[in-house]
Amino acid sequence: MTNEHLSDEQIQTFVLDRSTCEPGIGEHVQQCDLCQMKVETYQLMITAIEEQPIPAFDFDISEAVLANIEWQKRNGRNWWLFILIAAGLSVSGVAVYLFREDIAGMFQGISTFLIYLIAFTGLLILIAVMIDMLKSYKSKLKIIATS
Amino acid sequence: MNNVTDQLQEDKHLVHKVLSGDPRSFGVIIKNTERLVTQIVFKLIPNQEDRKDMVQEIYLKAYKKLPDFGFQSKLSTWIAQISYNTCLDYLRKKKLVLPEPLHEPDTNADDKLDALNLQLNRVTTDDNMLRKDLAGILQTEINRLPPLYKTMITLYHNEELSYFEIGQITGLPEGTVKSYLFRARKALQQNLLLTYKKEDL
Repeated sequence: MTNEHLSDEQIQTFVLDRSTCEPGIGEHVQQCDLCQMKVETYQLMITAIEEQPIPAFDFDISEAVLANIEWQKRNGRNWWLFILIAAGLSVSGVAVYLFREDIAGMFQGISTFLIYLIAFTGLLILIAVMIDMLKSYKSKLKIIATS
Repeated sequence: MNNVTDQLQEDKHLVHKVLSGDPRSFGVIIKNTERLVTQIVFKLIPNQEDRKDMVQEIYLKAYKKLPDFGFQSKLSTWIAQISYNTCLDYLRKKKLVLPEPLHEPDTNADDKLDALNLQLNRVTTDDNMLRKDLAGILQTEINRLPPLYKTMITLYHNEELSYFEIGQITGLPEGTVKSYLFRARKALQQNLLLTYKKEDL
């Protein structure tokens, strides 16, 4: 029999899996009040841990995820939209290139500052619109997922 | 052994069906694993709203990565691993407390705790009300543990996973998992006894 009090590790091992305990541990626990109490406290604690309520979400995860997958699939089919946008941008680029002299003529007589101001304002509006679209896209995605 | 083989067969069957274009089978995978994933998310993510986003992000990731799943572990363990890593990424991004090893439990407190052990045992063994109190205190104390410890305690004691499986999920060696669990239980027991004593006073 072990005469010294058991270490915490020995007590935990005794509580969790007696078969792996060193010989003499069980005998010590039976005869030592303090170690026996420690064993009982651990047993009490572990039972209480195992009896803890299992957390759960208040929505059907499976339905939400499958709806999201479906939505993303449908969205994936929108490659045509991106191709159309790319085609549109290409046509615009070619047109700008072909009519570059006429376009440049439109801005003749306007100060450089004004040109930069117009370009900067246009860019700001474009960024604001894009941020708004992105926010709306994210919120729609969230609504679809949790509905 | 048969259970392991059956589980593997079922995993293979479900993964094959999803990859053949049947997303509804992914619903079955979700149903089979949602308890484990929910436990991990609840233990690691403090914010309720973020938990909702997180659980969906986890399953969308799993769906996208499914073709790469090599059956080196159970499907549930693989999804739990994705859950754990996704939650860690979230904690890093939000600059929240990262799961970190606890300091060694306070060995100087052992003597005081021995006395408390005696006191607690004397009153709890035959008093159901106090057992209920203890469950309440325990819930609070588990929530106060560092996220990694909370998760390990839950995976081991509530989900009955082995040290090896917890190691696969957290990416830690089996020995480290064992040692962390020992420290977590000891810290929990110390906190529990001290809180119990405080409430008793």
